[in-house]
Amino acid sequence: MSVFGKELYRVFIKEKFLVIIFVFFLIRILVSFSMEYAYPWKSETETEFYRQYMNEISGKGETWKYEKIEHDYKDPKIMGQHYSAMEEIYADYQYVLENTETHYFLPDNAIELILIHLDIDWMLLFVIILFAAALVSNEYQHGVFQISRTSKLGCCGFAAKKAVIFIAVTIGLSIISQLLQLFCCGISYGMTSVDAPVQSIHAFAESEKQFTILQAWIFILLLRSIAYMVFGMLLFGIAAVCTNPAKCLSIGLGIVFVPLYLLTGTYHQEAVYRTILPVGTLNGYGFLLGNDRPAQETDYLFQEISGKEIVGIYTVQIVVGILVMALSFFQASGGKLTIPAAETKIYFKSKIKKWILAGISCCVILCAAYALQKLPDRALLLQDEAISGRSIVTDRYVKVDEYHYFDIKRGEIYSIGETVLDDQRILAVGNSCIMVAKKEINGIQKDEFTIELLDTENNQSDTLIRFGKNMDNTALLGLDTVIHTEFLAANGEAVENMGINESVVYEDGFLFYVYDNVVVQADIKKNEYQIVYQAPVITDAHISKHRMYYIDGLGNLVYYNFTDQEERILAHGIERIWVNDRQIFVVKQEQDGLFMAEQDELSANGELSFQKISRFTPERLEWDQSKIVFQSGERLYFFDSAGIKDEAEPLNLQAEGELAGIRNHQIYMLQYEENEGKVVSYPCEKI
Amino acid sequence: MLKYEIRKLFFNKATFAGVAFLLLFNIVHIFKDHYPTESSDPVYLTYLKVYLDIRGKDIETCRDIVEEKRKQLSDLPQNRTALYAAVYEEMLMELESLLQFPNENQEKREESLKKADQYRLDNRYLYHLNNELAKRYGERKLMEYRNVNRFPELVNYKFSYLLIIFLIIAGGVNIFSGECASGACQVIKSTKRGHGILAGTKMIAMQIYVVLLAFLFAVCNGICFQICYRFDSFSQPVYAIEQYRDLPVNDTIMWFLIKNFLVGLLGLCVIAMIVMLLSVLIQNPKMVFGCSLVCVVGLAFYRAFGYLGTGKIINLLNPVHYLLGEKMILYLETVNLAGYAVSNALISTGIAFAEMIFLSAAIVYFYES
Repeated sequence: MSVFGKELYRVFIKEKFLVIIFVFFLIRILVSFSMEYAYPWKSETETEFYRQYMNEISGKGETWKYEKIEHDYKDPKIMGQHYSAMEEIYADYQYVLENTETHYFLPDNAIELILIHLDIDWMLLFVIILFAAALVSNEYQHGVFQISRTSKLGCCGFAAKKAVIFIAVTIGLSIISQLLQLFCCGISYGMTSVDAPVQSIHAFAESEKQFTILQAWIFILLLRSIAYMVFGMLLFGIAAVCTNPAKCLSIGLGIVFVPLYLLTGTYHQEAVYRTILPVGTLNGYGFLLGNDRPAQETDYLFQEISGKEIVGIYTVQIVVGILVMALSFFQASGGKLTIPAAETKIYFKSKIKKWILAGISCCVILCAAYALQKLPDRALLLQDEAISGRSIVTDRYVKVDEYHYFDIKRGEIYSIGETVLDDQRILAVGNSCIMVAKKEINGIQKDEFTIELLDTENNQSDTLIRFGKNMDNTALLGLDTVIHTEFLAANGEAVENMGINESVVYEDGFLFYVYDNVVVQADIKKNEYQIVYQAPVITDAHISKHRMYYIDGLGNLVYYNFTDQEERILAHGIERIWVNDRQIFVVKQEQDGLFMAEQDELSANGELSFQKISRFTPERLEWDQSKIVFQSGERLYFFDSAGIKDEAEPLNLQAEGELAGIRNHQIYMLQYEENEGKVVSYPCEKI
Repeated sequence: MLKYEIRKLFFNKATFAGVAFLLLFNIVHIFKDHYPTESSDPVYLTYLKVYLDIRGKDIETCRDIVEEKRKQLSDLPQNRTALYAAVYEEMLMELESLLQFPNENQEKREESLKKADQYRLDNRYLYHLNNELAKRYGERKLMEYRNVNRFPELVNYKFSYLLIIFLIIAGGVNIFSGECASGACQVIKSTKRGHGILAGTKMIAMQIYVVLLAFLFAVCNGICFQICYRFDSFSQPVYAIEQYRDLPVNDTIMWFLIKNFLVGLLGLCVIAMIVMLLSVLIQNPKMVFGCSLVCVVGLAFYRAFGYLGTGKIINLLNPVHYLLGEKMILYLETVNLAGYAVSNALISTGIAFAEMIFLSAAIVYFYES
């Protein structure tokens, strides 16, 4: 067997380096499969629509594509069902219009995903360092070279063979790792539109380099492989001088980390790439970036690295690599550079197996604990079948304002939150619990929050849904900021959903709410949410049983069913609406009085015919099983639910405060004195 | 024996080099991120000029002085006074808000008393917690005006803990496994004091090492941040810091920093014990190093991602949680203990000591066996 073969056998088989490589590739495959696009939504249907749409229009911008997008963007049906995806597609369309020659419509694909996630492969660096320790350090440390030097093929020849093996394995690992990544991402996202210009990717919009996406990936593959080769050369020299593997590891990581740390700043981020050490070159992302200078700034955030500069940078780095590697030959030829070190034998022994098992068990226990706490307790959910933010009075509570509620059983007003430190507000009151929006991590300036049900009597709470990641990154002790690595992709949806308000409705495991003229449906079982409807204007929304009534910008009363996506205009010129199980009450624009229609009485043209039931215009209307009550000015008016007649003069009495609601034959009124709310109730029998 | 263990742990080139390098790195890191670039900024210089006139005086006097100065501006040409006017305006707003501070405290106190009353019969824990809050908000008074708003930068700086943990792992891996790997432990165990006493001595030496490291880095952080931000006073109450104004902590800044340091130190001590336990269990120092790193990273990630729900309770056992002691102290995080609201910081202290006792027993047990 040749020297090459024996060396490879020794390191890979005898010292079990093959196991390390196997584990490395396994992790690489898992990480590659977990890579994903950070969409600003959290819905599979929206993702599916976006992918299909982009696949359909992929490629260079053409008139029919522009017309299609313009048409679909204005189509209320498509916008209503796929608002988020259409917004994203429209943003892509605007981007294509900026430069139709170099900006193509780009569907999701593996290469784009890899290019936008380029980063230093710290794990590969670690493996290379371990390989250096196994191949070089051990022999220098134990003085084996002193013996091999006396042999025919010893001295520099032996070191050269080791160098060839080391560099070949380093380059091989780098290329296989990147190919594996491409393969795994390719399975998930496909390899479409690889001939589109690299400028089609938003991040590389300003790049001057004329590459297609596939060429850009090959370009980066080669550059990164050369960078890992240079790193290997440096390490080969270091491993010969610094024979202690721990020191070798520290210095190896240090030559990348220290320049990366010192040279990373806000301005001139290209400095990391223009060093004599392989730092930015291990990443490669910057080679595709163009000039970046904000309009108001005089200095560059990033200045493009030209092709000539790239050649220069690599020439210098390779020369430095060769010089450092020469130390190894000097050492092999009998030079005195060795730093004495302690014992080294770093590989697996049979006794370690049980500790690996123990470690895995600990991980499993931790994961189980983590998963367990994610499982929401549904005890409270069973108590309230439906909770609506529009109901101020329920069997148990009266909502006084966002922070105070009145407990009917106890007859007192309480503020929400266990203490004054709690950051939460009331969204809706139910018959047995209160729905609150709550920030769980005190003091962290984030928009992340949860929606919970709170049983005030037993002091229990159940989490319905969690927005954002709710992560306390201070526990990472600054590590994320130092190595400039994002542990989590940004999540825009948490911020978007902060507009949640009293339109919220919880029903059949779903949470519906309106914010900024879109309707969101959140699935509490899956902790997912998606925009299910959008309109230019949505006011006075009333959501119940997967359907919604609202008033649009033209004053039309619109009905929309979330299940079959049916949309209908029920009436025109409407100002306000109230909907109970059977009837719809409205106030019409420029008309005094209260109008009513039965929900199932549609006319021939699909509209509802409203009959005037009172000449007084209500400001607020409430009902229970037997009575309907509304407030107009300072008087309250009552109907019996069953006996509403045309413009019949209803019973009325003087209102003392604002009508909150009617429940169980009690009328609840809100009174305010010096900004403090007070709840008073009257029995209906008094009327 | 302790003397020799300390000598073995402390007096070697690797420890000195490691501590010196990481200390230097810590200093560079602080100055890189925190050294002010505003020292030549005219707005800052103007602010400083006005601030030096009012610092240390009571709030009302400060307000009157700034008001007076603002009135005097009207006699001067506008182009010369625009900068001052803006600074005065901002200072007046801050001083006005400080004048509202007693009222806000009173409101919070009343609100807490109301809540205490609400829970009086049903929930003794919340009753006691709200009473405690009411008491704290009732005792607050700002006597003088000093700008201490940059203290949170020092409190939130956690990177030094990461460096200390690295040094603890690097120092602790060889304590037991080094001797076992070389076979020296067989010889040591044949001696009279080579069993539990030696293990105990090693643990004490390690804890001294941790305390010294923590102290060294704390002093380094203090000096560096003092140079960067020129903190005006350590004797002001914590609520004098704008960012912490609403929080129920009435300690002085110095006492708060000491408490925060001590809670963090406990976390480091527990981490050191975990490293030592791994060192006893695993004979290969490199494996100890790797396992310790994995363990600490795992604990940090669990604290970061599993902080909610039941994680709030489970993390009381997590030493990385103690490193973020300021959250427990500042937000008065408490646990229901037989109806009493016991501070998480206090509970954590107890748990940390219990963990250390348990880990010590485990170390001695495994060392003996």
